[in-house]
Amino acid sequence: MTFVGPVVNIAWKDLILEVRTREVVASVLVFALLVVVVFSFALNSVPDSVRDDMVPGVLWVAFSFAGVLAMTRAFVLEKEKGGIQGLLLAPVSRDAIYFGKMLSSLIFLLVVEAAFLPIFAVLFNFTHFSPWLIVVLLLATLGFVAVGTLFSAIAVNTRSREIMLPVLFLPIVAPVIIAAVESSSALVGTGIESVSPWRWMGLIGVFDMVFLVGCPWVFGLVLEE
Amino acid sequence: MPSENLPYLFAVYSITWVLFFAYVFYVSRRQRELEREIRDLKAAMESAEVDSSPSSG
Amino acid sequence: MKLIGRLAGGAFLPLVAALMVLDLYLIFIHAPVATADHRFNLQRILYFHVGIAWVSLIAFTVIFIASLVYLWKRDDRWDALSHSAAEVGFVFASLVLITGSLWGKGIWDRWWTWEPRLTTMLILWLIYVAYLMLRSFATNPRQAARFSAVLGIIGFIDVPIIYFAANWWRGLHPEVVSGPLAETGSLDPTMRSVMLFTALVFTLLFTYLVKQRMSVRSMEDTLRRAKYTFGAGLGRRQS
Repeated sequence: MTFVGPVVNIAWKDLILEVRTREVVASVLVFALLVVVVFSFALNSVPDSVRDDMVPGVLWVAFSFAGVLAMTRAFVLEKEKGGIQGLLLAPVSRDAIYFGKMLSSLIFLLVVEAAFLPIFAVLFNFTHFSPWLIVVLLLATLGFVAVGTLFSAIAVNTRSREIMLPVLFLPIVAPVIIAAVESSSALVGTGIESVSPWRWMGLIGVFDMVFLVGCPWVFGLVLEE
Repeated sequence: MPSENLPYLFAVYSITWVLFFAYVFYVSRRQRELEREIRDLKAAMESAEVDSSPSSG
Repeated sequence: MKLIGRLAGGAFLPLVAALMVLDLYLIFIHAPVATADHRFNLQRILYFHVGIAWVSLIAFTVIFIASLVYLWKRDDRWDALSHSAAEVGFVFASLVLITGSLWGKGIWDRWWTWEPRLTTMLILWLIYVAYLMLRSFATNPRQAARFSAVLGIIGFIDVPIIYFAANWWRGLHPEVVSGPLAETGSLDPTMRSVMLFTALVFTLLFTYLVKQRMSVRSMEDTLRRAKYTFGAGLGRRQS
């Protein structure tokens, strides 16, 4: 209770803020749509059959960049308005701050993804939906925010944070992106099946567990000063 | 022995050494720069002490 | 530490140079030529390539350990070690990509394939880049030390996962000569020992370069501190 309470409170604070300002979800959703539109321009000369095979790849490119953008925002307000000092002064552990911020980012990204998927399905004629895709989506998004919350807190304290976050974030989550694309392709029946989707999901699961332990462990060190 | 692959071999071994020497050169140049800066700073500190001693006295 | 310091003072560089010449003799004269296919001279690239790749992994291990100890003890020397290992490791990691790319051009006639170890190396290289960028974008040296130590730890934990992912992703190429997923016994014993010797020589070269970089780093620190106290002294006098 002493741990869950602060976590939920911090996440709740972010959610209220988001409902009032609508800063993250709307802008990230628009950005993801733009990525997809650019992709359809870029893939113009590709025949339809090949294009169908590329759908999971396009989807995860959009989600990866949307994830970067959403995570950039996670600590910007805290930093600019001095909220982080308030959080640090509050009698809660650093772990609670980490998990609270992570929870709110997770909810934001899941909302974006839920809104984005139907539009994407229409634009790319994406009809082979599988319920397991939702599991992949949940696992991969959890991995994104687990790493993203830590690096967002780092990047916001450096000069040129907009560049620093993707540079830190994308190489580290590379295995999640690979596994997400591969398992989605296998689930919707496109592409070459190298390894079964279950093993890929297992890999994302392992990644999530490792970084849900590792990131909060070092998170407190990032905030000190 | 076929020599068709020799250019690759040549490229690998020369690029490796060129890069290593470039790095060593970079480090030693940085070292020389720092040595000069330390010397300048020492000189500046000494002259500052000389300047300040009559005014403080 | 002291022994290494004394060695680095005089005999270390000539020793590394002599071993490197011996290594080149072993690679080009002593080691048998691969006759199995059209590779012939190309396999001689692998001695350097594997040795350098080995060092770039060792370098990240050094970063990891030094980062852990730094966060634990907050002793600046450990930060100097991980910073230096990162910079030298970056040089090695770049060389892995270049030599690997040249080898690939020779053997597969393409500069780049998304082969598991190449992919892992590319991502490792990107993590090195991120590490060095993070240091230069940090707002003060203490912050640089803390943030980069965090990245050093997270990055090191990530490398095996990347390797697994890349391996499942494109696990179709043979020629695994070393590493955890290697097929053992596929290599001629002389070639194997030459390869190990090359790895040893490059490890010594790495040690020497890190040592040099650390001495430069300690000069940087001394200078910064001296400037700071000097500046503070001037400020006091003016007020």
